[in-house]
Amino acid sequence: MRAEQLKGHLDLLLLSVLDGAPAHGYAVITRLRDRSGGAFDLPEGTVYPALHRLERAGLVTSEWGSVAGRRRRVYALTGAGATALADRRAAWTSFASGVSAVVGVATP
Amino acid sequence: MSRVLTSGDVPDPIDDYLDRLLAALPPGTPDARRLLAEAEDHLRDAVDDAVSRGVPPDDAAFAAIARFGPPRVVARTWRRSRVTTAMVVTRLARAGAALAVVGLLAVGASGALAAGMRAAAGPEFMANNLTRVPFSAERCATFRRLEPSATTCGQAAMLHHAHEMVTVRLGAGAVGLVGAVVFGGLTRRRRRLGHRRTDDVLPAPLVPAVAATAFGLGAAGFTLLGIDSAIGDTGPGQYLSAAVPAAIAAVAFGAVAIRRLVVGEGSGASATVGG
Repeated sequence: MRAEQLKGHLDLLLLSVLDGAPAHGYAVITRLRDRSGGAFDLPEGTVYPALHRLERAGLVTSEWGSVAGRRRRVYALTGAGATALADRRAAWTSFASGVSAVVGVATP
Repeated sequence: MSRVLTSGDVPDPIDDYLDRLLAALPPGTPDARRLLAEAEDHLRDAVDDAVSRGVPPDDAAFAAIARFGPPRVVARTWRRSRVTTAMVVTRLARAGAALAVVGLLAVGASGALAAGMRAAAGPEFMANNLTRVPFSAERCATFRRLEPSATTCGQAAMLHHAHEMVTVRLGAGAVGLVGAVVFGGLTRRRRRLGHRRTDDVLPAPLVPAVAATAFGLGAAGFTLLGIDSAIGDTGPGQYLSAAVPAAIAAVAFGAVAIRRLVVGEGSGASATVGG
C-alpha cells in the first residue's frame, strides 16, 4: 500500500496498535507491519513524528523505560486517546461499511 | 545493542545515517535529540532482529536504513508534524511578500510595454479617452504647462497621462526590483542558516495556484477593458499593456501549480505520512 493511501488513517492505526498494550516505537511499527500482513509499506521513520504529534495532542503518553535490558521510549494510550480511538473506530467502521456496500465486497 | 561490524575506515552505516538525519533537521528543531535517540534504537533493533534470522550485519543495517526512509523525507515529515498557527502565518506573509514583489515587477513590465506601444502607435493608443474629458480651466492650465507641445487641453491631458502611465509603472517596477533583491537576499540567508521550518507548511501547489488565479483574473479583466476601449477608441493600450504581463505571470504560475499538483513536486506526497 502506498504511503499516501495511509494519510488520514495513520493516527487510527497507531492508536489501535497501542490499545491495551504500551509499546516502544520499533514494536509499534512491527505490530503495524505484522497486523497488516506487510501491506503497510511506509518509511518507518515517518511514524515517529506521528507518534510525537499524537503525544502533543494528549492522545498518547511516553516515557523512557527499560525493555529487554535496553533503554526505550515507551508509548501508551491516554484516556483521551482511548476515547479518540473509539470515535475513530466507529467512523472507520461506518466508512468501510459504506465503501464495501458500494464496491460489493463483504464488510470487514 | 548491536554495532554493525565494519572494517578499516568504513563508518558504521547507522551512525552515518543518523549524521545525515541530523543534518537534514532544521537547526533548533525541538526534540531533535529524542528523535535521533529513537531512530538509533529503532535501527539497531531492526538489525538485531535481522541478524538473529541469519542476515549479515551490514546487509541488515542497510535494509533497516532503507525501511526507515531517506533523511530528507523523515525530516520533512517531522517539520510538517509540528506546524503551528504562527508558522502558517509566517509562511503566508512570506508568500504574500513574494507575490507583491512579482506584482510590482509585472507592473514595471507593463510600463515598459506601454512605452513601446506609445512609441509604435502614438499616445492616442494609450489615453485617447482623455481628449474627450471636459477638464476645468485650472487643470487645463496645468496640463498645458506640463505638455507645452500640445495644441488643445485634451491633447495635453492625453500626452501627460500617456507619459505618466509609463513613468509610474516603471517606478513601481523599480520598487519591485529592489524588493526582489531584498527578498532574494533574505531568502538565501534564511536557507543558508537552515531556517526552513516553515517551507513545507502550506500545500506546495497553493501559492502558485492563488497567484495564477489572481494574475489570470487581472489579465482577463484588462483584456476585456482593452477590447471595450478599442471599440470605443478610447486608448486600449493602457489596458492591453497591463494584460500581457499579467497573462504571462498567470501562465507561469499556472504551470508551476499544475506541475506540483500532477507530479507532486515539492509536496512530498508520495512518501510522507502523518503530517
